[in-house]
Amino acid sequence: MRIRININQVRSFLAVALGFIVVCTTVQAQPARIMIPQGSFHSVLPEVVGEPVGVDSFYIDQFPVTNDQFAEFLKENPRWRRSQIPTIYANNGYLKHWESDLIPGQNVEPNRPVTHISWFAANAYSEWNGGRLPTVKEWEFAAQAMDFNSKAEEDQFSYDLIGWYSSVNAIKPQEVGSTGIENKYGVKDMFGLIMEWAEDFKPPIGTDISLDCGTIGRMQENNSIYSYAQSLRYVTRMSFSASSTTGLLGFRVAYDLPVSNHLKSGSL
Amino acid sequence: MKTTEFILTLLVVMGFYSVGWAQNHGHGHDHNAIKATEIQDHSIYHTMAEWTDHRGDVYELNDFKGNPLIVVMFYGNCVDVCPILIQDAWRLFREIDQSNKEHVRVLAVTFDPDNDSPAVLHAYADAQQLNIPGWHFMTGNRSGIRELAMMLGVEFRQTGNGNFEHSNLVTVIDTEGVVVERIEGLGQPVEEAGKLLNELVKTMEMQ
Amino acid sequence: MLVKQIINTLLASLLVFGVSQQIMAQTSEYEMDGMIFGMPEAEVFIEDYDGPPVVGEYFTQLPTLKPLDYEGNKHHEVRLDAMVQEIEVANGVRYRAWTFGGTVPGPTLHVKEGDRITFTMKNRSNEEVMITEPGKGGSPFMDQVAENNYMDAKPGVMPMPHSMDFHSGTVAKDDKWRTISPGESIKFDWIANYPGTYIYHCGTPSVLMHTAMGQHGVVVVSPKDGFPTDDKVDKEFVVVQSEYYLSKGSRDDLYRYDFEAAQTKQPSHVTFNGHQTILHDQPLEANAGERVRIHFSNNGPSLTSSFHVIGAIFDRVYYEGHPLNEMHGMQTVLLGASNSAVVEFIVPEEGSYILIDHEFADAEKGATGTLKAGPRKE
Repeated sequence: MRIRININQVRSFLAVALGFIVVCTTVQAQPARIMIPQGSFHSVLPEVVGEPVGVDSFYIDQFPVTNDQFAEFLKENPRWRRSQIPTIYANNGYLKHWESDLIPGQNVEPNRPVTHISWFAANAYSEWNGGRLPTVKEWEFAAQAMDFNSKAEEDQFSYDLIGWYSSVNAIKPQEVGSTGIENKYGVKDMFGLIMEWAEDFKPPIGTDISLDCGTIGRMQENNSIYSYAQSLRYVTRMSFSASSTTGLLGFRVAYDLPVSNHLKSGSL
Repeated sequence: MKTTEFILTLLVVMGFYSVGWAQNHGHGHDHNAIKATEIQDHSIYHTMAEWTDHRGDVYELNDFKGNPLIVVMFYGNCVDVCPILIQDAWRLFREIDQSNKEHVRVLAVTFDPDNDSPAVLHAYADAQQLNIPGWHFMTGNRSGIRELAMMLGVEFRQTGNGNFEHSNLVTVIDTEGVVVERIEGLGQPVEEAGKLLNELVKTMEMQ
Repeated sequence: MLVKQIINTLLASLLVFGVSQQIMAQTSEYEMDGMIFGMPEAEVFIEDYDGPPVVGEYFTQLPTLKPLDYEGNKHHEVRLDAMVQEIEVANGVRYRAWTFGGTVPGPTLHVKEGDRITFTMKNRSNEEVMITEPGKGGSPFMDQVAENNYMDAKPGVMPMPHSMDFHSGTVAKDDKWRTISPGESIKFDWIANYPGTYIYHCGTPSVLMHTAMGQHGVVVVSPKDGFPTDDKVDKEFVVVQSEYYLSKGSRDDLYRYDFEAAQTKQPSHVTFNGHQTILHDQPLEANAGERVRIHFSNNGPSLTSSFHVIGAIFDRVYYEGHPLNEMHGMQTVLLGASNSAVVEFIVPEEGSYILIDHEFADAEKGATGTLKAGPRKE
């Protein structure tokens, strides 16, 4: 018996199959992680004055961790909820903007970066998510992996960044992906959205960099607006304490190589 | 006569209260049964990280709850500064009265889990002549080590060649896990902290 | 047995208490030349405070000064919190300022030479703070601002680290002027060892940015034996000159800090008492024949001021506000960034007098004010 294959049936079958694949991938897609290949950058806090700082390859979240993602973590880890967290881990501003322990609420949309969380909470989430907080070197290296077409463009970018540091209205951060800023590997929003925690955000500093009036001057690697903006960011980040929480301070997770493809339970 | 009766009643009432209090803080802790609500708000014992000491024994930090602690952070490949820091912890330990020493634990925690395995730590302890009762040279995972450093206020970062830049701190922790004294820098005087440790041991015996 | 337990517990706790008190009571205060130095270490802590951001009987709004109505020295317990406020600095020009107490410049503190001040500051840059609702326990400043909100101040949020540097205090900067993160508070003592009119400002890097963004003000330390001309003074005011480096932002109507202008010392506005027109809209008032004293401070952050009052000559100038720095008959006083002077002049006749920074480029950016003089009172 000859089996007749109707071309329309084939088309329908392919359409359904394609639809099925699309739905599966979007439903099962976890937050993207991007590989940052090893390299070096000029830091305002170099290990050896005048030399660039080297960084090994690592993975980093494409976006900062959102309210929704953090809520997932809290469902499985009750001791990090607002009503249970001890003072050693976070001051009294911890998730104060959320409606309740597990619900960000109407005002705090799910796709915005989670803020009002302390270093300890960010560290715990990172571990739960199979990673860790990026070190300052890693964070800065990834953030600064941007291509500028000219010095003028770099200056304008830095100029705007300093403007952001001084004038952003921190009542409510924007949505992730909204800044339009991405590094050359596709990592988004490392500038212009929130300040981010780093594993060693408070590096040991000698008395010559003691966060006083002269500090910015001493941090100028190469006298550019770019390094000025970097200095402001370093100073601000170094002045937090691990239990600090603010409305403009969130985080993203870094991962050692290799990245496992195993989906953790309860994740999207 | 009425006054004496009154005073005696007061003393008896106070006595009942203190006995009741003593029973709640029973001796012989079952560490698995210590719930978060029993840990003070500012205690380091909220951490749930796991540690392995130079003898290969595995601990959770709150296994040390109930004993006063001296805590110092270092790493094995640090050749000039850390030995001084470890000796500072030893000088402080020596300040404690002989009879009180057995109640105090000393935790020397590494920044460098990749290099400082329990075997390496064992060799280090031997070399320092500090493989002695009550002393634990400890390693853990990266997250737990950083968490502890954050709770104590120790700053460190890894530099390119496998070394670490770090601040120098010897910490005294009370029986509830709360930091009560911080000695910053190297070669600092330890008499006051020593007295404090003796007092902390005394409060242990009262419970 | 019980009694023994009780007594032992009491003794042990007494011992621990005693030892800890001993450690805490070790201050290193010492006296030298009649001044007191060696303040105890600053405390940094978290408090649940949400009361008035400016507390202290002798805190007032510019240009007023609260008279010192006490004999000898006083121990002041004051609070001045850091926070963000959206303010107007010129007609149609508003920006989100970093402030102490909610205005730019911040409130003026008046104390006497030799007073001890216990100072508390909470970094409230991560929360909205209203300054126009005078709460209980606030200072005269808070009542004045509520009544005269000439900067049209509105709360804002911009979490940043901040610190306090009182030029009137003599302390170790790495301890007392240290930076605190949003939500933290700092508390320390300082002694007003020297008389004078002193700037206070935020010392957190970038100090140019923090000061230009608005974190500065003035402490008047009146000399303990007064000035030789005290009996003759009829009116006393405080006037502060400062610069703004602002340009229009891209997103909304608000202006924002212009980093390049600040680096090249090209201010967009130079003002007296923080607002381009306030000393014209609300002029100082006196009468012909009266002796007017002005505590004038150039808070910078970067420029000099050549202070002059058009129509008058300064009968006395106490440079930096010290009674021994007495100068006579000056037309203009040159003040560098953070210099001050106590100037006194006789108002010659009824009419209008203009306070001005005689560096005319500054004057045209707003460094002017008016003193309106009425007729002579017999």
